[in-house]
Amino acid sequence: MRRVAIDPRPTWADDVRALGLVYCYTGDRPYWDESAYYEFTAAEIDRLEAATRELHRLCLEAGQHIIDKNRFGELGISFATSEAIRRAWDAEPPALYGRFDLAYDGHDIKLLEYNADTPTALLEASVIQWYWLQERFPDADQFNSLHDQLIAKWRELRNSLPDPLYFAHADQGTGEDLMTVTYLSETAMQAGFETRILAMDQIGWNAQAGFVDFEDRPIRSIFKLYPWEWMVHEAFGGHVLDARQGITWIEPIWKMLWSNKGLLAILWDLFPGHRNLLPARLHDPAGMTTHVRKPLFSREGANVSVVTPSGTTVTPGDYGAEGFVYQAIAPIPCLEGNYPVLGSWVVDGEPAGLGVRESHDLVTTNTSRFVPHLFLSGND
Amino acid sequence: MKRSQQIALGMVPLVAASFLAGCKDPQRKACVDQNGVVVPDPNCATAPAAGTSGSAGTHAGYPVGYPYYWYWYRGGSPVIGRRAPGGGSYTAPAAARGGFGSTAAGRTSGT
Repeated sequence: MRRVAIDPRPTWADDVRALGLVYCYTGDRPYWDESAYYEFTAAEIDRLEAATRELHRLCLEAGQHIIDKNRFGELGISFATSEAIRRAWDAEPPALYGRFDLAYDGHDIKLLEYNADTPTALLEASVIQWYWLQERFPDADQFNSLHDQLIAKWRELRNSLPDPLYFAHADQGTGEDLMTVTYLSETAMQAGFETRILAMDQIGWNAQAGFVDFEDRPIRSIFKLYPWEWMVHEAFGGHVLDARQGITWIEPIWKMLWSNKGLLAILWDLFPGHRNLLPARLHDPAGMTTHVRKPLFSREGANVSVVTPSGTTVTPGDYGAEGFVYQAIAPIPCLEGNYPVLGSWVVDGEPAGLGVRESHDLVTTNTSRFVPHLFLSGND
Repeated sequence: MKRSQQIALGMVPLVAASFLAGCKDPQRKACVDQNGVVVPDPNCATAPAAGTSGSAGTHAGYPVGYPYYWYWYRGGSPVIGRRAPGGGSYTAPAAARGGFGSTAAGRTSGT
């Protein structure tokens, strides 16, 4: 893996906005950053793909373990929610996608966390960098079959989910969540679904019809870009935990097991020393003098502490009341002052592509930048 | 398969253009009467079933069937007694709404 500096396209901002990346800036700094790209060898991509497949397998075992050993309490999950998770895990409702965040130093591939419930940075990984590659390096390759795999998964679900298929978001004005669900909705439409987009607070509840849309039409299947740990504590939370509701939520509620940072410690419990895992402990660093402390439910790098012998750095936020996981510091390389984190995508349990985000320090936050990638076939 | 064969988008660019054209304000909700005048929220929370009021309102797009409706729009905060801005959409008050989304204020939903 190497970072290659390159001149951006003169019209890059207009180009990516026209494709839907309306959030191509964070403040006055580019979020989509094509002043560089990451180049991988085909062998490296094969290893990343294999590691992603292996991590997915480990997570399946960890999920079953949490349920069998009733470890919900350690993850800050209530009894009522755990019952809903058990039911969903056994019923196997549709699960669409997720993103493993990985540290890669050219040798080791280590899991940093799994964004399994509400992963974003999807449009840029699936569409924007694909078009960038066509224009800048048409003869190179890219680890990115996200678009095709999303459509394939929706096609598989076409006969089991009724129309319309809803897509809900709670965009806070940046356009990121809106465009993420718009893109996912478009992939579902290309698979033959009739789709509708609505805001989370437009979802209604009617004692006779159950969940309804903005025109009081019953909702029977819905993708929500909204965290389960928020939903179960909000006013309609009791309704989603009710086993009698005939509604399919995508992602399913059992994704709470994988999006919880406590998963990292449970994986280490089950597979100590695994080549793709970092040492991790729940609620106590257990002697790790150098570590990263993450809240179980933190989002986008909030409230993360990096503890080293030379000092502690802390990112701001309002998470942590639910407890923390302590994880060994990952071998993230510093390339020209940038720390890359590899987002390895999974669609329907299969590796589906790669997106690279880089930051100026070890913690990837909502101010990180997305940098495109390519790989050269036959280059080992 | 490492790479998507072809990516064609129709709806995404349209929504992006709409967003960039100025629809950036977060959507707001107000309970309004048949003239589009903002009234206290409990009027919508306790509204009678559809059909008890048959008159159409004078606010553009006001539907027939309820004395009060939830009105969704982009713009400033609603002020009781004043007309809501035009161009929004209505939802019937028969269902309780707003039971999701409250935790998102000031936070990001994605990861």
